[in-house]
Amino acid sequence: MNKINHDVKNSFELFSKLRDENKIIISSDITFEVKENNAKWEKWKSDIDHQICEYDIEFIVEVQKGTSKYGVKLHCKNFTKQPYFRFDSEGPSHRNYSIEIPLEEQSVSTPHFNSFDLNGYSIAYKNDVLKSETESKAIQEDLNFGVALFCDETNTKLENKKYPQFKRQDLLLDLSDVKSVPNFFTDNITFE
Amino acid sequence: MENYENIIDKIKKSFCDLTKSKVRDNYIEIITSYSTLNNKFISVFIFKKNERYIVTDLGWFDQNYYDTPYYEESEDLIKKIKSNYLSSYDVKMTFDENSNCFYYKSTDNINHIASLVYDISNFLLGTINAYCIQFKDEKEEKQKETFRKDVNNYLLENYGDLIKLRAPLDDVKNVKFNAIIEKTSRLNLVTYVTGSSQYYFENDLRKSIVNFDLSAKSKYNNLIKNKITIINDESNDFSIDKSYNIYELLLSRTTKPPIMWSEKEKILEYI
Repeated sequence: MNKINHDVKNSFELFSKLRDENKIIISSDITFEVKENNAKWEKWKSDIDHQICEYDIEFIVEVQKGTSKYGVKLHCKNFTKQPYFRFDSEGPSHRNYSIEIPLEEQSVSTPHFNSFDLNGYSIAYKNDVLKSETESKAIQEDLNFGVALFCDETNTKLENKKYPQFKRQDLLLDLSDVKSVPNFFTDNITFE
Repeated sequence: MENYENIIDKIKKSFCDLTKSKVRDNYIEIITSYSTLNNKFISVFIFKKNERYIVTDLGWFDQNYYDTPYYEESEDLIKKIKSNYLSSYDVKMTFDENSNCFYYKSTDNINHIASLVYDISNFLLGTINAYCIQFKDEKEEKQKETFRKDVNNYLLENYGDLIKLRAPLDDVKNVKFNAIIEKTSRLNLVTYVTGSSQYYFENDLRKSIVNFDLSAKSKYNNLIKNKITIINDESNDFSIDKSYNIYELLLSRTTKPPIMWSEKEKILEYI
């Protein structure tokens, strides 16, 4: 099963522009709020200033509390319902479902970017930085590194040409826990 | 024969190479070769705790790392599928301090681990796929919704404030009629019948029969003037003749012959 995103398929040129053309993150107030309906996640978002089309674009960063998992997204609601370009630091590998790709290469592990191909199919890929295991590990552990990578990949910056920097003390969540022993080794969880 | 061997080897190699792994700080992630309907590969984690090997999903399913959609109307069905998979593969559950659920199996024998990975993967695959499927019949929902709206609008145009839509009689709350029209202090109960297949059409007929029967038990029964059914005869997805025995039973419950939607003016004669 592979669902087609018809908005992308029908306007692939616009999709490519939304992904590749110059975009400016307006907000510099980098503080997180708890994601609606899901207290386990914290979310930061900013409007984007751009000349691509008349639609509004949002730049979204989400962090899962107590873990190193985070995601970065570009969302243009008037163009298509779901975010049109994403970065996942952690989580399941994605299957690039295509007969042209050898089976053993259809699995793309995280961290990876999620985009769409010409036919509107969801595809995951790693750019050169993510292909390096050492860089990949550093990105998984460092939100700011991942955000900067995403900004480069999508031509998105702050007005002063810099990347947004999330300071740990600005976060409501406690990222200092992340590198300590994972919670499933502690006595707080019991396995028979 | 040589060719066949070649094909077999290729398949085995591809399947084998599709299974990948990541060594983390003190545990292993196996990225299995099982992928879900929404194109995610199932990951299973292995670590050692208190001298036992734990094979677990690490809470990924509960925390929706697999990004499954949630169709509220399918909840009961999904619960059944999930509990079936849980018991079939003898999967256990435990919770961390944040109430995240971990699904797992454990062993003290290193030779059993592969089998446990297989079980946990199958459990996850089946359950996650159940979440990915939209069980409701979209064609049916759409047709019912369109017909309901058309009839509602027609009745609203003609009866305005006199009408209550999807309403029960006050003392039989669990029996709702598509419309109740109160005119000169008398009640007219109206049901709609349509269907994207013979099966759904018959369901609607049966529902009308039962609802009219139950209305007879209401203390307002003597205020009921009409029991009327409107049938969507503009649909080609069912035929009244094929379900005539049920249709006939409905005829015995209504106060007027069912009204075909193509002759909707008759409603105004009856009410």
